[in-house]
Amino acid sequence: MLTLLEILVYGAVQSAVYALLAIGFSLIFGVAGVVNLAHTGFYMVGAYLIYTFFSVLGLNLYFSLILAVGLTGVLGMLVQQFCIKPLIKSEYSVMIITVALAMFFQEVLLSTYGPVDRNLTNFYDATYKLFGLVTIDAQRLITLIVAIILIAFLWFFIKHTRFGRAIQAVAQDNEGAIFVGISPNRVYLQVIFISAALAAIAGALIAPTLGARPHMWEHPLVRVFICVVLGGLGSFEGTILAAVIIGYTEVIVSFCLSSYLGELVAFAIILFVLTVRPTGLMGKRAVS
Amino acid sequence: MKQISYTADQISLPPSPLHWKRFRPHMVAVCLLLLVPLFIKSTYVIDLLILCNIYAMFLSSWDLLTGYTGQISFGHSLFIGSGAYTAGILSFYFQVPILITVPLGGVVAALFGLLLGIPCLRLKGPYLALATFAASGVLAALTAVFWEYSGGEDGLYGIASVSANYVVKYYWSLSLMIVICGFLLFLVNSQYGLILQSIREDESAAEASGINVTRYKLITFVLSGFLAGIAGAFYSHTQMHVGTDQFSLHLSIMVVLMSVVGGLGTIVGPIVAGFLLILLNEWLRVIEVVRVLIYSFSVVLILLFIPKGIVPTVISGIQKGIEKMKSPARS
Amino acid sequence: MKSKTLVIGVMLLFGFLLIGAGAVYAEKVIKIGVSGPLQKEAGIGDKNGAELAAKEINEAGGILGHKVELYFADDGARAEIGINAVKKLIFDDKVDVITGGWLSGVGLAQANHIFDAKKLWLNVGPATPKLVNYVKQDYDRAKYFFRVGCVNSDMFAKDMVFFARDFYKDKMGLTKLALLPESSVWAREMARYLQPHFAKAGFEIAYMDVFDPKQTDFSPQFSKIRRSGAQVLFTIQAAAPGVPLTKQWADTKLPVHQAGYSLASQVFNFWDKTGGKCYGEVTQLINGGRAPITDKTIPFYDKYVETFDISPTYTAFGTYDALYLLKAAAEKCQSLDTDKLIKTIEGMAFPGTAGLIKFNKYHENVYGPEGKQPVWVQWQGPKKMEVIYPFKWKTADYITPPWIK
Repeated sequence: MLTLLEILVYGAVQSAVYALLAIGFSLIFGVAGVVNLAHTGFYMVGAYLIYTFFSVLGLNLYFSLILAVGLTGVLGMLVQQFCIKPLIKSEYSVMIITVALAMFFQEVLLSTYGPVDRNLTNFYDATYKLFGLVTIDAQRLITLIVAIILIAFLWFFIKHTRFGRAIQAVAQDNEGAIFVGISPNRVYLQVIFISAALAAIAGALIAPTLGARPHMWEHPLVRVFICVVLGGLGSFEGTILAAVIIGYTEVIVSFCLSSYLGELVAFAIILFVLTVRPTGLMGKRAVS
Repeated sequence: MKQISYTADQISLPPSPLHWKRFRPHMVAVCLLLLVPLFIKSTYVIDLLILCNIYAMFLSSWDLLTGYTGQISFGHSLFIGSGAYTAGILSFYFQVPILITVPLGGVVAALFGLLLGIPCLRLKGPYLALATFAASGVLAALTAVFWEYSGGEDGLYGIASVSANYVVKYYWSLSLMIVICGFLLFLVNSQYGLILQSIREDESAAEASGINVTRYKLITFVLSGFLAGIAGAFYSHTQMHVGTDQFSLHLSIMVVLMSVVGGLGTIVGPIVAGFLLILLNEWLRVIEVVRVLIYSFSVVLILLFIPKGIVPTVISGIQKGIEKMKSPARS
Repeated sequence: MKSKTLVIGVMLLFGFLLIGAGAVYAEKVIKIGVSGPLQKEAGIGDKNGAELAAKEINEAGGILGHKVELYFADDGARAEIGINAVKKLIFDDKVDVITGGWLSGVGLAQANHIFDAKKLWLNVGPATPKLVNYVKQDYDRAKYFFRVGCVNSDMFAKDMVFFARDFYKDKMGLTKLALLPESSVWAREMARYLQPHFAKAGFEIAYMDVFDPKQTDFSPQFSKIRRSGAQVLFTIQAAAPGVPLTKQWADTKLPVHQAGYSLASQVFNFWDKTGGKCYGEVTQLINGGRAPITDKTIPFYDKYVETFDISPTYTAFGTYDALYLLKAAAEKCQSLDTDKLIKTIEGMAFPGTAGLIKFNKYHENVYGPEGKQPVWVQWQGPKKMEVIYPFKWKTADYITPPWIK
């Protein structure tokens, strides 16, 4: 019984982390058709920025968060405007240039901060026992709660606000959107701001547990790519579903087999799903 | 007869596919490469060129699958690694000679090509990219699970060497490269290449005009795998080592990156970019500290200014130059 | 006409004089290549240790009058990059001797290339027993290899068992262990060695699992450890960053003592990296620590800290000793010829900073009071790694982590 509860809780935390990271990636693909492999680069930049403001300069936590997230969002817009937009006609080129950008961020951070892990202080230091049985620390509990709130908020935002509907319009029909007076380019910029900001929030939440290092963008990128493609490109719900599957797979394999087999099982699941459903779990957008 | 040539992102229609005049620049390059050891004595540079030759095989075999047939593969390391590990295991445990391990490496990789090709038939774009990457990931994870046989992340070491003499090694790598890349050039300029490109451009139209798309896709997966596997097996014999790096995503991404920079769908483009980027990477070692920074920045710049890739841009630039010279009166 | 000839003649003479003078003043140099993961702690240690030794040696006149010149090559902690690194050192920089190193896999891969080039290899980092197999199987080919920087992992596994028995069992009465090696080959081999030996020493291994170095969430393992009733957790990690495990151990107040071999934990900055959450963690220093192992140990340690503002890793002790060993051997046989040096080193008993450097017939550093002996330290504050074992070198009492009853 305890094991089940633990799997439930830890799986939820892991899934929430992946979902938070993957959502932004999914958003920019769904809207602009852009595979932004610099997404986890934003996650890393966000983590380092909040490290600088909160842990090094000692600014107020909320202020540091807003500053770090805002700056990362602006970085995202710059990347979109100057690096992605010129190459938008070629899928491969966008993927390569964004990966090169991520490496570039890595090197800049490496030269500035050095290769050693940086410690981000927990937002709050405490340990809890959920349901009286499951031990969890404050930082991860906060991550879980914040992730759920943000995702719910974003879902509502996209489905029910005017701005959200503009995003949907551009995603569904680029030219049609122009006809009704929506500027796709403006929407791309706004969406990438949100996407990068989400990645930065994820960085700020997760990095205290892991530490910040210049290569921290590599491993999550793989996970994010998996979640988004597996879920079906352009499908918000699909991404979340995939994140849940991958997150729970890892935790269940850890509990029942051995943690290092998690990747193997995840990859096997991916191959299986793609064989059976070639456009992912909930993919609606046909990729040409 | 007027010569029609298109750049790489359109279908290339060779006027007379294998007319030797078209391959003059290629032959010059090969001659230069053959003569290198006469002029360059530095073992270090020779070793670098061996690596360039091997990567030329990795990249051109990938271009066949992705550039020509449009099957985006982010898992080329699957083929390279299976060839490398086949050679490694045969050499380490059974002392099988190189002349056997290398072809066998190709065969094993070809088998994986078939295994991978079947589920990938229905996949396109990023889904295909993910599936190919997941496949190489499965094998990478398996080397960790069966660490007692595969050597885990240490890999297998002490594998038979091609030769202790670097010049001999160089000529072996060059011969292999000429055979494999030459074969690929021959292939893509033939009817087969035309069919692949029509599949890339519009699969349903190709199917409708009577092409058995499934058969050609599978053949290409197998062929791409076979050639990359041979190169991978040869690689492990030059390094005297095989490890999980040969199944890594990093290797797959390098293949993609170098080929895109060189120009997809040209065979020659990836080879040229491979040589340039490997040499650039080593040359930048002088400034070790900012090496990756400059390297990644260079790639960004190249893509922004030469999005079609180096070789197609250079070729069309030369052609435009020739046209301008031929008809200066027209403005 | 005549004056022109005279001018040319004088210029030529001048030129010859300059060249002649240059030849006379050409420095005698010995080139030493250091290969290691220069972006990671262990590699930084390789570099610093070598640099400190080179500086001191050059100030004292060099090795047999030859100035020591260091060449560095980053092996990126990966076999493939490591192979290219030694190739660069051998063919491009043309070094005479190679030292440095960290990961076993990289060392194993580099070996063949170094043997082919017949270069003296004073290897510092890798602990895998397998490296010695080269010497066992083909002495003539592999004689260039000497394991200078540490003992092999079987030996420090043995030491781990002694420590656990003398300390946790005899002193504190704790007998239930949890074992958590990372998935690297050498760590798993070490765990395999440990299991029967722990059992023989009277311990029960209540839980064991292998974890991926990239793992970030230890909740599943920790929950199982909690339920297993284990009292002491032994980790074995080098490639793993160490930070997530330690942070989560403290954050979730896991009720076990934490000890083991953790590379990250050996360095000063681990305190900062974990935000002080490594308080109470015990780690094994397999090649040098701030204890009077030999007369040279503490002076070297303090000088290193003063110069680099960080504690020396086991690789730093290693490369420092390797350079001094080379100097001593060269002076003993009055030659820089590789084969002569090899014969000399085989017979030496050289007091290094981390213990006595003495080799068995397979070119491995002998372990034990007659050779090298690991030191166990516990984190008790920022930059405070107190020695707790062997008892003869103890500098402070053991502190039980505050949340453990």
